[in-house]
Order: sequence, then C-alpha cells, then structure tokens
Amino acid sequence: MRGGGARLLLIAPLAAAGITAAVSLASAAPPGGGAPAASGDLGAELFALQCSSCHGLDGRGVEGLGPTLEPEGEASADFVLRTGRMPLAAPDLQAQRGPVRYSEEEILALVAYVGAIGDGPPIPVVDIAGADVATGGELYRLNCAACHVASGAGAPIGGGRVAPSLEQSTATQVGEAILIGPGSMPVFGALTEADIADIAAYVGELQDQNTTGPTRFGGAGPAAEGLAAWLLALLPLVALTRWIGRPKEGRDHPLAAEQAGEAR
Amino acid sequence: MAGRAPRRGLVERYVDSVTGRVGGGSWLTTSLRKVFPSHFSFLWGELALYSFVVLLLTGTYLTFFFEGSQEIVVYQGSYEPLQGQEVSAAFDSVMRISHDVKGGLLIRQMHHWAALVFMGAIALHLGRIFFTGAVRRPRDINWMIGLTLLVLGLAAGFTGYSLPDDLLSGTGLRITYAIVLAIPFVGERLAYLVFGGEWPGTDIIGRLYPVHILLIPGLIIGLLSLHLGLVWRQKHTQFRGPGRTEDNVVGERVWPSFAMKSTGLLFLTAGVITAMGAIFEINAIWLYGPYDAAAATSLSQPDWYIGFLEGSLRLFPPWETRVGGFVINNIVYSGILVPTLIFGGLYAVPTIERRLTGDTADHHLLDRPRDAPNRTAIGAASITAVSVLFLGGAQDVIAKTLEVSVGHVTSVLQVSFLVAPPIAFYATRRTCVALRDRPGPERTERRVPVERTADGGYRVPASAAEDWMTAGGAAPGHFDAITGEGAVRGARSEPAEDAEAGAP
Amino acid sequence: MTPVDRPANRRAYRASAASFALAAAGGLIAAYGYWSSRTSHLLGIGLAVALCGIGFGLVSWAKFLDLDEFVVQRRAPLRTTDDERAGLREELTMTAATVGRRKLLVALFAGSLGSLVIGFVGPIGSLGPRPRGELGRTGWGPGRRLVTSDGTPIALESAGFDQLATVFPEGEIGRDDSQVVLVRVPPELLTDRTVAGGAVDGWVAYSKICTHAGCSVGLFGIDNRAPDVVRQLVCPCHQSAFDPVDAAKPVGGPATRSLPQLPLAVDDAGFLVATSDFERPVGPISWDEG
Repeated sequence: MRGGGARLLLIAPLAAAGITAAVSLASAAPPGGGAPAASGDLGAELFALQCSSCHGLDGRGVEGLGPTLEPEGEASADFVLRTGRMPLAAPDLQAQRGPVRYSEEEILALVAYVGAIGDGPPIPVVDIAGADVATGGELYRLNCAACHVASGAGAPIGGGRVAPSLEQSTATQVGEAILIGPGSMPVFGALTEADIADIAAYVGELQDQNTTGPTRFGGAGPAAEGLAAWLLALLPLVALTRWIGRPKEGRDHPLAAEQAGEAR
Repeated sequence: MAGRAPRRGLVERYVDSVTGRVGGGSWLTTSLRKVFPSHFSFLWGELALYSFVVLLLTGTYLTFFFEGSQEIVVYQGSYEPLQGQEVSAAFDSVMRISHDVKGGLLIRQMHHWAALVFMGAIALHLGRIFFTGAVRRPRDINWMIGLTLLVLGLAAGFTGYSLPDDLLSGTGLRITYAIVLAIPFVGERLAYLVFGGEWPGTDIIGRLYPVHILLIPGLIIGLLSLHLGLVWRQKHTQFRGPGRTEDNVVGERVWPSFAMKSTGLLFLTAGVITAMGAIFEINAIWLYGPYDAAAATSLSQPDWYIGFLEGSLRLFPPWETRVGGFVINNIVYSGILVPTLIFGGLYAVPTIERRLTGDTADHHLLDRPRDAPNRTAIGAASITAVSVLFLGGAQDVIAKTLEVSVGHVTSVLQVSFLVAPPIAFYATRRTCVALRDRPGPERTERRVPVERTADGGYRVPASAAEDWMTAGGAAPGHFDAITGEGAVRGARSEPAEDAEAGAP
Repeated sequence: MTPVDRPANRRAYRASAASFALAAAGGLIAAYGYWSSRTSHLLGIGLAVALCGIGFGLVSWAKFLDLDEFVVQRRAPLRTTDDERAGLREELTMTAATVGRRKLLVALFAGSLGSLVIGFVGPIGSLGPRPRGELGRTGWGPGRRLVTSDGTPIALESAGFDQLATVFPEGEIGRDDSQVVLVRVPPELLTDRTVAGGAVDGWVAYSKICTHAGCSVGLFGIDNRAPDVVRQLVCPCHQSAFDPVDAAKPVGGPATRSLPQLPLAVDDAGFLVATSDFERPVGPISWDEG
C-alpha cells in the first residue's frame, strides 16, 4: 500500500508536469522569436521572473550579467536546475551545486522553455544498464580525473574555479556535463554515447564505493593520508611515549639512587 | 612453585653453555645493568626503529606476492571496474594483494602507514636531537649516520611508492625522470641509464624492486646497527638535573625496567599502525588505475615526506638560465639545488655550530631549547621554511579545503618562504631569551624543600617528591647552595642510603 | 623483588592484567576475523587490540614493578689515551716503513684498482642505450590523423567550441611522447602566431606533456564570463598554466616554456591530421635545449 501510494504521488506531478510541458511547447509562442510568452505558460512565467534579469527576456543574454542560452539546450537547463546551480545569487559567482529550487513540474517547464530558445542539445539518454564500467574507468582517468580527481572528490582548477565533487551526480547529469561543458568544464565532443554511458557507470561505481568517505579522508589522496599519519598515528604514539617515560608517582628523590656496580 | 626452580635452571644452563663457548659473560652482565636515562623524547628514535620492524615484517610478506615487472597482462582479478584492462604485472600483483589475498590489503595498508609513521618518527627524533644540542661532539658522527638513515628512508619510501605502477607511481617517476634529465652535462645519458631508455621504458619497476627490498633495507640495517652501537658505546645523553653530570648517566637499568617499557612500545607502535591499516584506506591504487602517460589526476601528491620536494617544484618561480646554447632548467633549482641545500645544511649542522660557538668540548648533558636561543631560533626558522615547502606541495588541497584560488595560495606561500623564517627566528629567539633569563613560575624554576638526614646526607620528603622529579632542568646553582659543592659532585659523593626508602 | 604496595602500583597491576587478557581476546578476534572472511576489519582490529594490549600490559607491568629510575652509572671517558695514541702511531709508522717502502708496488696497486673501476664502467653503460635524439621525435608526421584513445578520428565539423580531447597519432594510440591535448575554441580568439602554428577552424593541438616536469596537462578550465574571460590548460601536478589561445605560453606556475604546438590540417575525408612532427622536443627541457 505504502509503496503504491508513494509511486502514485510521484507519478502524479510527473504526469501533470509532462502535460504542462507538452502544452507549453505547443501553445507558447516560439521563445526564440522574442515575443512575450503567453500567459499561463509556467516555463515562460518562471523564466521571466527568475532568469531574465541575467539571461534577458528573450534568453539571449545580457551584456555583463549572463550569457545567451541559445547553445545551451534542454541538457544544460536540466543540469543547472536539477543540481541547484541556477538561479545564481549574483552573476559573478561560480555556479555550484546547491539545493534544488524548483518543483519537478517547474523544472520540466523551464527546461522545455529554454530548450526552445536555441539549438542546444536535448537531455541525453544515459543508459548505464549495459555499460562497461572498466572502459568507463579508463576514460574517466584519461578525461575526467585531471580535474575531478581519481576518487571523484573534485579539486581546484586554477583561477579560483573548482571542479566539483561527483558524489551526488546522477548518470544523466554526468552525460549532460560531458555534452555541454557547464561552468569551467570543456565539452568532450569526441566521446560517443557509449563512452558517456561507460563513464556515468564508473562515476556510479565510485559513489557505490563511497570513495570520498571518512575512512578515505574525503578521497583527497596522499596529502590527507600524510596528515592522518601525523594526527592519528604519530600524535597518539607521542602521547604513549609521554606515558611510558613519565616518572613514577610518589618516588623518593634521585640522590637516593643506588650506587652499587657503577663501573659502566 | 616447585616447577619454577628447574625452569630457571634451564635459562641459566643455556646462558652458561653459550658464554662458556664464546665468553662475554661479563659483557652481558654490564649490558643488562646498563643505565638508560628516562625522558619521553628519548623514545622517539625507538618509534622509528619499531616502525621499521613493522616495515620489514609486512614488507617481507608483500614480496611473496609482488611481481616487479612491467610486462603487460590483462587484469582478471575480482575487482570488477578493472577487469579486462591491460595493466602491468606489477600493478596486477598489487591488485591481487589488495583484493584477492585474504588479509593482503591489511598487510599492504600497514606497510604504507608504517612508512609514513617511520618517516614522521625520524623527523621527530631529528628535531629532538637538534634542539637539545645532542648534535654536538662526540655525537656529531652519529648525527651524520642518522641523516644518512633519513636519506635512505626517503629513498625507501619513494621506491616503494613507485612500485605498484599505478597512476600516482608513474606520475612520481615521470617527475623523477624530468629531474634527472635536467642535470647539467649528464642528464640525458643518466636518465637513459636509470630508466633504460626514453620514458617510460619497460625496466624501471624491475630495477626499483631489488633496490627497494634489498639494497636500501640492507643499508638501513647496517647503518642502524652502527647508529645504535654508537649510542650504546657513547651512552645516551641526559637532561640537566639533580645528580646528573657530564660524567654519569642517571636513569633506569636496561634490564628489566627499560627493556620492558621499550618492548611495550614496540607492541604499541605495531598496534597503532595495525589499527590504521585496519580502519583507514591508504593509496587506493584501484582508483588511480594502471599508469597511463596520458592520464592525470588532480590532488596528485607524493607521500608526505617527499612533500618538501614537491613544494619546491610547485613554488619555485618560473626561472631558467641560459648559458651559451645550454639551459639550466627551473627543475635544476627547485628539484636539485633546494634539496641539496636542505640536506647539505643538515649535514653541516655540527660544523656550523662549532664555528659559531667555538665550542669543541664533549657534551653529554643536553640543553633545554631555551638554553641555546640561537640554535633553537635557527632550527625554528629552518623548520618554518621547510614547512612552507611542505604546504606548497599540497597547495591544491589547501585551496580546495579553504575554497580559495590555487594561485593565491601559491603567492602567499612564496612570500611566506622568504618572510616567515626570519620572523620565526626572531620570535623564537626572543621567547628563549625571555624564558631563560626571567625567573618565572615555570616548573623548572620551582624550589623543592630538602631535608638534612642524620648522617649528613640530603633527602627530599615524600610530599615534595613529584616536584623534585619534574624539576629536571633546575639550575645547577640551586643545588650548589645546598651541597656547597655543586649538584654534580654532591650527588656522587653522598650515597645517602637511608633515603632509598622506595626500593628494598 | 616485591613492589611496594601503593595505590599506583595496585592500579598498574590491574591495568597490566586487564591488558594481557584483552590482548588474548584480540588474537582470537583476529583469528575469527580471518576465518569468517571479514578480513578487512575484524582481522586488523583484532590484531591491533592484541598488539596494543601486549604493549600496554608490558609497560604497566614495568610500572607495577616499581623499579628504580634513578640508578647512577659512571660515564667512562671516550677519549683515546696518549699511550694508546702512541701505540697506534707506531703501528702506522711501521706500516709506512715496511709496506710503503716499495713506491712502485704501491703505485701499481693503486693504478690497478683504478683500472678495475674503469673496467666496470662498461657494464654500467649497458643499463641504458645511448641517447640518439629520441627525445626530439614523436609519432607525429605529415598526414597522421588525430584519433582518440579508442581510435576515433576527429571530424573538423564536430559541433561546439571549448571542446577538449586527448588524442594520439593514428596507429600509435597510447604512445607516451605523442599524447596531444586537442582543444577547440572560437577561432576569432586565437592569436596570429597560434594560427600560424597550425590551427584549423578553432582547433588547436598541443603536446600534452608539461614542459615543467612532464605530467599530463589534463585540465582545461574555461571562464567565458566577461570581463575576465579565461581559458587555461593546467597541469595537475605542479599547477603550471598555459594559454591555449596564445600558443600555449605559460601564464602561471613553474613552467618556463610553452607547450609545443602540433600543426594541423584537414584531410580529404574531413578529419584532422598533423602536417608534421613537433618543431621542438616535447616534455621537460633537457640540458642542451638552450
């Protein structure tokens, strides 16, 4: 019962959102045309309200505030909305993963709206069911580890920008990121659909292994391990030497030391 | 109880039969009665020794499985995300140890943690020797041996880091190749000799293996024996204190008191390292994957003790010098000159100290760091400089942790390298002088009541015994006033047997 | 020796007994851990408990025994006495007078040892071949296609800018000295010398081996938001940064030289090819590249 109910709860908004999205695609004036969006279109409303201050009412960007969304497509919109990267608090910040601000329905509507602005890629279908995780690992180390670290922990990449941790990335998000190159990330156009699925499967494997867990020091590598050796092993050992070398309590003074057999 | 006498007899019989054949009975007796001064910092060298014991034992176990070869094989072990990948035999065997040999991962992780602890304990020991003035004659010779052991430890650590042939190993070796290549005049030829040709070749793992498991440990064992033999021969130093002089040793006997505690420390060291190996993962080579020259990972660091060299490489400004068609590369400065200066400086410490102080006498009593403000300040400044290098080696991890730009961290550290050591020197020197000159409430200045005994000796009443013992660094003058002769003589010439209440 | 009955000693006795008992239990836990195949944790923790237990037990035992910590022992002087010195000097003089008298033999002996050393230099030379300029050659050459690690060639028309790929010469995938980082940036950004170095329609290729210490320059960070538009290739080892739109000149970190550029062209099938090998040796700089 409980499971069924939950499923129903899940499906209902999805279905509703799907219908809304379909309706909005069908009914809204092509946003690329720059015409004001029809009232009642959720995506257009949200866009005008939350996105247009930086990306412009027509989605073609505002000089000095936000880029045009023409090349972004549904993939990009889905990525930034579902990882909480958008909307940004201020235009000069680097977008980082955060709490998702929109409901499922609103995301679907916005994604559809943004997707219609230009000719960007659609949301990729990343099917990790048949993926080869070993090939994915090889491709990951060749293409991704340089920034995201072998463990997926993420790292700074110069200029104050960071490659984020992949701890929470879903397979679809991995695929989207590879296709669109969000933020400071380049596009990996040479990777095929199968490559992308393999890499996504490997990222899932890293998550399953909890490679950034506390017993692995966040996956931060030898520097963290060295610090751990000092704090968790050497410090206790020094404390133990302190205990071993501590003079006994209540003993008499050293002048009382015995003098017998002193010759060497 | 009845069974006890014959058992003791057995030990006696064995000892008798050996000493009856090779002699040395009296040597054995004096050895067992040898006195070892107690202070907790005197045990840090033993921490290193016992980590080394763990390294030898775990390392021996690992050699039964490791394969020192770069031959390409297809990985078919139980770790799925690498199945079917082409890896080197070395990598394959470390994967086998980690995933298919029952208990192998524990031993491997213990080995790695023990290496990190080993080098840390050496660093602590080195610091203790330096800051207490134990580098002075006649122990300057043992200082050199100890430093050589440190260098060998670095070499052992580096070769061990390189053996699994994973991405981090290969990256480290790639950098080493670059450093060798940069050596003026002979670099290219030398790199070809060491690596068997152009990078990466197929020889280096097979060459490092015997170096790691035979050559370096052999040298360490030899020099370690010499190191300990000299301590035995020259007797351990001791801090100043009541009854302690340049020509005596005050402490506990080797047998059984010191031996029991020291053996206890052996087990504790091994226990802590085992706990680390059991709980914390170290060097997950299955994530780094087999070495692939075109692959790279961020946060790629050497093990901590190579961090100073890594930091030197990262922080050194982009300078190179051209000399008529030749080039003195940036790496010559950061990868060769800087470590040469650091270790040259360490080896020169006894000489520099002798030159600066003009003191050529033998010393068996240790200084407290504050007693030698200049030495302590120089040491603090050096540690500061090297620490900045260590931080530089992890500048990306720092930037990640503090969420600031790598470039900013680099700039701050570059400036710190120049500015922080003089500040450390000045601050340390001031602190030492203040501590030394101004009588304050520190425990070393604490006065302890002394009672006169019936036969003319002195004793400390039981109520003040704790104070007395913790006053290990009390100024000699304080005792001069009591004995009229100096604490030194007073202690030796006055048996004061009545005071020996504690030990029947 | 009977330890004095003091609270501290009684405590030490109990601590010692408890530690040894715990150690015995630890050994059994370890054995069970191995037997039950939960090796990663139970085995290690059991062993750690056993080892630490024995350690604590021994030290507590020693503390319980309450042995004297203030035994005084004389420190014998380490100096050699004048008599001993004289004896030693006599031995040395005698050696010089007898063994050293025949100067010719001494010289020949030293010479023969020296030649022995020289004789052994040969086998050391066998450790590696003599360099024959390999460092200056890679697998690239005129018409060699750029392919990814799975052999896919790069089509000129591949969509999108700010792309990154790691490529090798066709037929030599994985060859270490031939790894190339291929990026595509908006063509109007490229400087003249970069275009002259062999860029095609925004595609530009550089050796992926850092000129500093030889790691793979795998990071490509982009920030295309005005006013601080930045495109950087960064080496993850020592954080050297290179500018891909301006001939990969070093713009940060310890590297002193730009990444060698691979001149590109397009073949008849529309795939990217190299027009020659690199003009300069790739990778870290060696002594004679002044």
